[in-house]
Amino acid sequence: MTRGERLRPVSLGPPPRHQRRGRLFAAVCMAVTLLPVLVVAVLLGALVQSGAGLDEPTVVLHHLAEGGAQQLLRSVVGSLWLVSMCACVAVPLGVGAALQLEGPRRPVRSALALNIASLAGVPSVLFGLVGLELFVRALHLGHSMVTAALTLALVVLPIVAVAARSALRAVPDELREAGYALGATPWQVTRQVVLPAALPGILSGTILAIARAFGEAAPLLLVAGMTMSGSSTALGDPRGVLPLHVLALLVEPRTAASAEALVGVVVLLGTLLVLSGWAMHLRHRHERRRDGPWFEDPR
Amino acid sequence: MSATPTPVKLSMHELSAWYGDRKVLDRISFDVPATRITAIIGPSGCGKSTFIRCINRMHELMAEARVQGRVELDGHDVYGLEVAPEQLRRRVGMVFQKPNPFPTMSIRDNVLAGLRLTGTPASDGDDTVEQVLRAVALWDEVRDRLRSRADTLSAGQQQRLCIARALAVRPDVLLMDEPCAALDPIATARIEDLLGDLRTRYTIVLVTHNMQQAARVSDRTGFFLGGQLVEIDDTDIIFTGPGDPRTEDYITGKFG
Ligand SMILES: Nc1ncnc2c1ncn2[C@@H]1O[C@H](COP(=O)(O)OP(=O)(O)O)[C@@H](O)[C@H]1O
Ligand SMILES: [Mg+2]
Repeated sequence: MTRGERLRPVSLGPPPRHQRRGRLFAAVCMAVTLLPVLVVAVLLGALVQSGAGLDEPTVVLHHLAEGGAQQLLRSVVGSLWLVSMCACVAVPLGVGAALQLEGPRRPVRSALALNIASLAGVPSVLFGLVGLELFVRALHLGHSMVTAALTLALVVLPIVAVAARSALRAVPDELREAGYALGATPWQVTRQVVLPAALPGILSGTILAIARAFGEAAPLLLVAGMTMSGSSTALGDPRGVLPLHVLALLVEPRTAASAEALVGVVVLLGTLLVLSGWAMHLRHRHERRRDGPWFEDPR
Repeated sequence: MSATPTPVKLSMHELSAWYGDRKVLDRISFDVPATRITAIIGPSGCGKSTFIRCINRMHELMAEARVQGRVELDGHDVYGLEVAPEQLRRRVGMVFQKPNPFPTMSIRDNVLAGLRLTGTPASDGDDTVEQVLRAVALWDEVRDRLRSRADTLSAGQQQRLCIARALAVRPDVLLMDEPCAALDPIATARIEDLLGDLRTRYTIVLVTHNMQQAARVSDRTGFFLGGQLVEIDDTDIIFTGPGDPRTEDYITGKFG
C-alpha cells in the first residue's frame, strides 16, 4: 500500500460491504412502505376500469337515483349504528381489561395479557361462530343488531385492550406517585391521573377498532345472515350494513350492480382512511407531548 | 442553628425496610423537630429515598416492599391499624427529585389537583391558588397564565409548582427527595430561598446529595451509610466536628 492510497478520503472509495447492505435494506423497507399505496392504487384502478367498462354508465346513475343511493345511505347509517353499539360495549370492557392487566405483575396477569393479545390474531369468522352459539342460540338475542354488535365487540375487544394497555403503560410512574403523594386512593389515581394521561392512546386504539368493525363482514354473515331488507331503526332488527350491502351487490347478477358495489367500496375505503388518519393524528399528538420539558431526563 | 429545643414532630423507632429479601434500611431511630429543616445526606444508594418514603407510606406501594418498626407523627404510629395511608399523605406532603406536575392540566388545576383528586371541594379555589403560589414565589411569574398548561413552565418553575401543589393540601410535614437534583444553579438557589421561608411553618425533611445545600439550609443533618444512620446532629456540628470518622470522611469528600 502506498502512502497516497492510505491518505485517500474514505468517502471517495467504493462503499464498503456493510454500507451497501444497509442501502439494500433501506430500499427494501421503502418498497414495503409503498406496498399499501400500491394496494390502494390497484383498487382504485379496478374501480375506474369497471366504471369505464360499463356499456351505459348512466344506468348506474339512474339506478342510484331510483333508490340505490338511498339503500347505500341506509347501509351506511346501519353501519354507524352498529359500530357505535359495538364501541359502547368493546371500549369499556377493553379499557377495563387493560386496567386489570396493569396491576402489580403476577403470572396470572401475564397469561391473561398473552391470551388477549393472541385473540387479536383469531380470524373473525370464528368470532362469528362464537356469536352464533353464544348470543343467538344460548342468549336468544336473535339475528339482530344487538347480536351483531356484541359479536363485533368480541372481534375488536383485543384491539382496544392491547392499545389501552400500552397507553396505560406509557403513563410515567412519576405521575402515579404524584397522585398518591397528594393522598389520592388507587381508584382516584387511576381515574383522574392515569386514564386522562392515557386517553390519546386509548382513543386511537378505539378508532382503529371502530375502523375494523366498520369493514367487518364475515362474522356478520354468520350471526345476522345477509338481511338487507330491514329499514326500521329499532335496535332489535337486523339492518343492512355497508360491508354486507357491498357483498350483496357484488353477487347480484345485474351488470350495473357491481359498479354500485364499487361506489360502496369507495365509501368504505374513504371512511377507513379518515378513521385511521384520525387515529394517527391522535397518536402523533400524544407522542409530541412527551418531548416537553416535563419528560426530560434530569441528567 | 437551633439552640432552643422544639417539639418533636416525627420520630422513628427501629425503622427497617426491605425490597423483597433485600434489607435496605437497618433500624433507623431518631427524632425530627417541628418547624425545622432536617437534611438527610449520604452516598447514592444508601437508602435516603427509601427512608423518606417510609414516612408517608409511599414505600409500601412498591411490589415486594416491606417495613418494620415505628414512625410516629405527633406521637401516633403512622403504621397503626386505624391510619389510612391516604389520610397520612395529606398531612405529610412530598416533593420528588424530578418535577412531576400533571402535564395535561393547567397551572391552576395542578395547584388544586390534590384537593380535586381527593374529592375535597375547593370552595375558595382562587384564594388557595394565589396563596400557595405566592408561598412558593411563583405567583408573579404565572398570574397571567394560570390557565396554560403546566408543561409550558421551566423545570425550576415546575418544581416550585409541585411544592405549591403539595402545600395546597395543607400538610404539616414536607418531605423533599433531592428537589434540586434536576435543576440548574439559579433555580436551585430559588428553591433554597423558598426552603428558608417555608421553614417557619412546616416541618421539612430534605434529602440531598449536595452537602453544601445541607449546610446552607438545614438545622439538623443526618448522615446515612449502607442503610444505617451513622449520626444525626445539629448541622453546624456535623459539618465542623462530626462524632463519627465516617461522617468526617464523607463530608471532606474522601468517598461518595
Ligand atoms: N424499587 C426497588 N426495588 C429494589 N431495590 C430498590 C428499589 N429502589 C431502591 N432499591 C435499592 O435500595 C437501596 C436504597 O435505595 P434508595 O433509597 O433509592 O437510595 P438513595 O435514595 O440514597 O440513593 C439501593 O441499593 C437500591 O438499589
Ligand atoms: Mg434517592
